[in-house]
Amino acid sequence: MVSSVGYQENIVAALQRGARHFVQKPVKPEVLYEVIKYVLGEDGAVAGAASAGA
Amino acid sequence: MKMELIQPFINAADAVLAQGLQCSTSVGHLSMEEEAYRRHGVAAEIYLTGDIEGRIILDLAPETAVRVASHYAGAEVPESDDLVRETVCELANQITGNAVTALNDQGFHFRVHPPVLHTSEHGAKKQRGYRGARHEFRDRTRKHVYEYCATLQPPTAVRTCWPWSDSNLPSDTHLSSNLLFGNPTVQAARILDFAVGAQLRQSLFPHSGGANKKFVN
Repeated sequence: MVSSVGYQENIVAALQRGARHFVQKPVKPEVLYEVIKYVLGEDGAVAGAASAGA
Repeated sequence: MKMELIQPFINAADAVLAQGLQCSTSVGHLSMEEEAYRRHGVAAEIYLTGDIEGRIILDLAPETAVRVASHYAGAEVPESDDLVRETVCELANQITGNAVTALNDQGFHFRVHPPVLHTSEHGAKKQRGYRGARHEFRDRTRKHVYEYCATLQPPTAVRTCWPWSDSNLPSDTHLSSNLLFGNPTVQAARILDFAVGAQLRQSLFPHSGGANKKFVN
């Protein structure tokens, strides 16, 4: 989730509602890049585990 | 007027504008405003509720708004383009969001509402309890001044005008006009372009380039 409002309560609410990560605007490209890599890495690990188990 | 409530807005405006527009700024004169706010250019307002209720207004001179929108779009944007107004709304959203984040982390409780265009030519008549503060910013050359006005009794107003010099604009890219129109793919690409720039978006999502081609100016 990307939002300009990044106080703690807001971040916790976003994560509780299913956000995988939280980035506050204005977005720094290098930060967003690392977060996307991290989230895609999580997805890749889950997909890998699922296919290995199938 | 409590400076502890004003300062986060000044800090946030400084940080968001400096990062987004890649230009150093300095903070100038702060003064109190007793009169109702009058719009000068393209203005967005955001309502705040919580410990203190009021509104934040970000107001850019028309030519400044066009240059800022063009900077974010990576291509010249005409003044009539909705992207100019969308850009001012997004800047107001980022500045207010960052200021409220700082305030709430200090123990205040504010809630930010979505930005809307401030279209009234004249401010509302002076209201009882209206207190304001106006702040000037200058760039390094001290030639370009923009102002910043805030009140924390209702209504709350923050006004920022930023005359802009061509030398501050990067000679960048090839993107597009309207930010929030078009199909969802194009819309997503535009939002990413606005957030991180076209180059990074294209490197992250190489297949999104085709969807954007028809919007290249």
